[in-house]
Amino acid sequence: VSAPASPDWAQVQRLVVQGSTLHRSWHFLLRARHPGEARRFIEALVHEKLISYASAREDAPVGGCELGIGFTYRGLQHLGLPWEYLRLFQEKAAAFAEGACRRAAQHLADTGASAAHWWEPCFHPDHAHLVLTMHADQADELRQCTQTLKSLPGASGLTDWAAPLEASHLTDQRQYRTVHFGLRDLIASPAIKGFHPRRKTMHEPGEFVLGYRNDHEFNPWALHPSPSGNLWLPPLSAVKPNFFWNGSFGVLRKMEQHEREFRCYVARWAKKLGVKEEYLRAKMNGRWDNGQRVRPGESEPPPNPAPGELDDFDFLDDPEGKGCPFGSHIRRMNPRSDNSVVPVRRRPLIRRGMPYGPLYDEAKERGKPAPPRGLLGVFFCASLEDQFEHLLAEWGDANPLGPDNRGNAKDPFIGSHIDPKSVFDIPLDGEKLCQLEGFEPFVTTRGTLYAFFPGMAGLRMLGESH
Amino acid sequence: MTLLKRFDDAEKDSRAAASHLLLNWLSDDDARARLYVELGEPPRVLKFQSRADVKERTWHDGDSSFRQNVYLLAAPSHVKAALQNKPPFSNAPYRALGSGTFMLGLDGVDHDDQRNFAYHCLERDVRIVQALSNVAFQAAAALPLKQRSFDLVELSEQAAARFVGFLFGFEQADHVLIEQAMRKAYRGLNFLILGRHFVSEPGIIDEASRAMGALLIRTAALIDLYRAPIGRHQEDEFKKIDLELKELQIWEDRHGRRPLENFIPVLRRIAAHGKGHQYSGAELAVIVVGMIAGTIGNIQASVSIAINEFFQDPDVWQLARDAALKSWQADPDYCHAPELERLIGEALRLNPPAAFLPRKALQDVTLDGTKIDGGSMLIVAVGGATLANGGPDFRKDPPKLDDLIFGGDASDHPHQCIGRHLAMPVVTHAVRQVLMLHGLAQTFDPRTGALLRLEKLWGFNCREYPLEFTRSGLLVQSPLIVIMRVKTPVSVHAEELKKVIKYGAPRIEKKLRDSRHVHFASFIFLENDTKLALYTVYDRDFDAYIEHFALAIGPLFDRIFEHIQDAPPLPVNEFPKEFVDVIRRHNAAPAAGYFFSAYPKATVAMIAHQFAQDGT
Repeated sequence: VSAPASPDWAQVQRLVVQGSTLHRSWHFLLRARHPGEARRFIEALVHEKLISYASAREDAPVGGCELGIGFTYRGLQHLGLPWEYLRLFQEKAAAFAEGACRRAAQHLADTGASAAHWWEPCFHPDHAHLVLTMHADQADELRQCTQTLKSLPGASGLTDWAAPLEASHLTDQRQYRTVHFGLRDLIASPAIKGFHPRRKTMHEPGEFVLGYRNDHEFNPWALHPSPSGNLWLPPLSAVKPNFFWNGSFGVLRKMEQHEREFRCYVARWAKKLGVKEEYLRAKMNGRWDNGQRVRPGESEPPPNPAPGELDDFDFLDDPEGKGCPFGSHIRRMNPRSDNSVVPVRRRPLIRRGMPYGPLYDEAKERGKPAPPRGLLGVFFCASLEDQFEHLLAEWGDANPLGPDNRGNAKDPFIGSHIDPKSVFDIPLDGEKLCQLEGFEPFVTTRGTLYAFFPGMAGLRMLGESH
Repeated sequence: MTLLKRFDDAEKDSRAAASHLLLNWLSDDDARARLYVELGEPPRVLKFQSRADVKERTWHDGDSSFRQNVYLLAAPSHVKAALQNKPPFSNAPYRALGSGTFMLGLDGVDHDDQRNFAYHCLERDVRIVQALSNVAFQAAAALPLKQRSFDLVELSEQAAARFVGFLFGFEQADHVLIEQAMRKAYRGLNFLILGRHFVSEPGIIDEASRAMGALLIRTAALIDLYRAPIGRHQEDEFKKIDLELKELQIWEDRHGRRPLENFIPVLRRIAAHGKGHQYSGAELAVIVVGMIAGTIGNIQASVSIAINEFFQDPDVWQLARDAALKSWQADPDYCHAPELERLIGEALRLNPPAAFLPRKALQDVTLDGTKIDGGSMLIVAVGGATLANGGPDFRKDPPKLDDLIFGGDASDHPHQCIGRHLAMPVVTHAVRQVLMLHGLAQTFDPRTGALLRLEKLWGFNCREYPLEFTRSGLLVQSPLIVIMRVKTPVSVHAEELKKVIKYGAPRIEKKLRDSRHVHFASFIFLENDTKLALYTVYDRDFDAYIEHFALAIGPLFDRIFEHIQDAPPLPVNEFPKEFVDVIRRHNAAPAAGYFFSAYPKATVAMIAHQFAQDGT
């Protein structure tokens, strides 16, 4: 059986390729106490058509609740997925099979206060088997949806319903979302061939969905016997490849943001360098607060851009980083067509995060401990190793190989800074030297979870044979 | 229910079962701490049934008996009483490890004399001890920190063994001997002190004695050599060792200073000391080996315990990291770090490295209502006393090191001195350097997902502590050595391969240059053309590097793999992941993992940018 050339998008979970424009989200990290019951629950989800799949309709069903489902590797093991499938995950998706805790130090740069052994218990290895992610505009809708789910056959076989991870947008404008640190959000989203309208840069479906060719013209999940044999794979005759097809790897990552420390840092350095705080924040981020990327020579934010302009750009007109510094957050996390980054390979990532905790209020919080706030990041890609992990470890924790970045600081926003002498370089015209130092971690990872979000066929198979 | 109640109940049914329970508690950090609290308030001596033979050695006269009463002393007052180094408490149990002159096993005047002499011969210049700690840690780290995962117990053992080697003036080739002897001695000592009362490991003490014996012989020989080399052979050996010492003495710190210029190793001091003649060569060697045995074991355990303890609490970890950074920024060469030392002291107070000490009651003695029969063995739980000695706030108190931490009693000045002035600087330096590693983290068991902490046998014998760090923080390049078997008939396929490499060279050259992350690359035919080796040095991530070449020059690799056995699925650019796997499987690690780089942090891209800027 070979996969069709392009996905039937109606088989792909909505959250993966389409995302949600709704205001709130809850994520349940559930344990399957009784595998048989859990399978019954999955079958009921399928039967009741509760999972949201992608559709051509761009607008969200306002007033409803969108539901997505993912499984950890331990969860798939626990549910009794046959060994041939597990073996394929081990071979082709080692990071998923090992789990985020084991990968944290080396591949996610989670050390120090972000180290995996200090993550919240729900992210500990062997804790969660199943992730239910739910989006709605109103908390009532989320509660109601939870009640519906809990009343499904088999739901009693799942535990840990009590405390979902909660997130909600800081604005109620669907077209203008922000995150903590005062930044505009949800503007960078990769466009997928055959699904999104045409843009300057398009990606192959295989970068996000399993079973298809990727940007580099190979299909790691083709699962047909190779011409010269592939001895270390399990007998493929025992595997139904459409279990994997249309699925995607999801990452749930809870990142606490220390906004007071961040604001103080920016204020201190802005004063020291005689520049505006917004300017410095923009140089660190690579975008102005309104989302427009920083162009060479700009010292003020340009007027509010049209939504289409926010993401449809590259750095060809900024080869020396004089607008968007090489070390800035967005240029690291998405170098776009910047071919100076080696080894040359696109590493697109779908971002579906949502903030948690209250909007920062300096006056109200003065002299008090800060309430927990941050980003509940949700990311999707077809290869955790090549995409998500490469971004964090190779481009965030260290300088991306290639560009002439004269600084040695980590990503200014998300880096786990430990060396106060490390330097963030802001290249400017002329001889003027502009460098920041004394970074402290502004973000602490509270947990990360890797999950497989199966396509429609895969989910159906998981619900069978209980 | 209290642990003691459970113990007493178990004793009624089966004394062996109660002992087993006790070993379980002693082996678990939390349970042990609870037990000590219960034994401290009100003070109680815990009598249990030991499995150890009443005879010290099998060939001694008398009958064997494997059911004797042994007493665990953990209440602070009991610990202090037993460690007074006065009757009725004796150091005799140590004698099982060696001859009657084994230093730890001596009581009273003999014991004090030897210790005092040894103490006089020790280096006490802080600067020299700090510099030696630095050199020793660098030597110990040369291999393990070339890999991203390392075992902290091994690293600290190596640092301790190197330190001892330099400090005493052993030949560098003696390192393996010191390492082996100490490993076995540490194991034997731990068995002697605690293990033998609960488990059987026949031969382990004999093995430790033999290993210590080998080191004794070498030590005695070196002292004689340092006194006066006799004959050409000894003179040559002396010259060789002298050369090593000179190499050490000209070690320069970052400012070009030579702190070790006037350093004289301990064995040379002993050999030169006038009073040294009152002891025989064998006695002197016994003293030295005794000092070494305690020092290495304590350093190794202390470093591992401190890091393990810091990882228990994010706040403490942050304090320790900050203290390490502050000290490192002030002076990377000499580790002066009072704040860090305080945190280490606290960690060691909670888990003393010399956790248990053996004593013997020479006569009947009663402690808080429990009568201990004369001739009985005692286990002194040092942790019981140190645990009760906690300050109100270790984060603010001035640096303080509990006298009991490194074992021995508080009045034992030489012993305390070795702990404080020799072991502690090495410990602090090693802890600081480990804390400064980028991305230092604990690891998780690949199979169970459980966090791997410091593994201690019987709660104190440090066995293993796997940690990882970001290797590219120290060394950004890696060697790749792929050795592939040429298909048979070799003559045909090797010729074809040579052609492919020849005509493909311009393309390979261009792709390597464009890649900007490969430093060097070459092909080598080995063993009469039966094997083809590819040798490269590349920057950072292995998978990204290999995959890049699968995608960039896949067709060329296809032509090469046509002539190679066990090739990956072809074409390579359709199966880049499988290609990466095959290369990983064929990647031969350099011997002992050793890889040198003259510019460990420079990437190809950085070098190219620099050349471009310089116009060369």
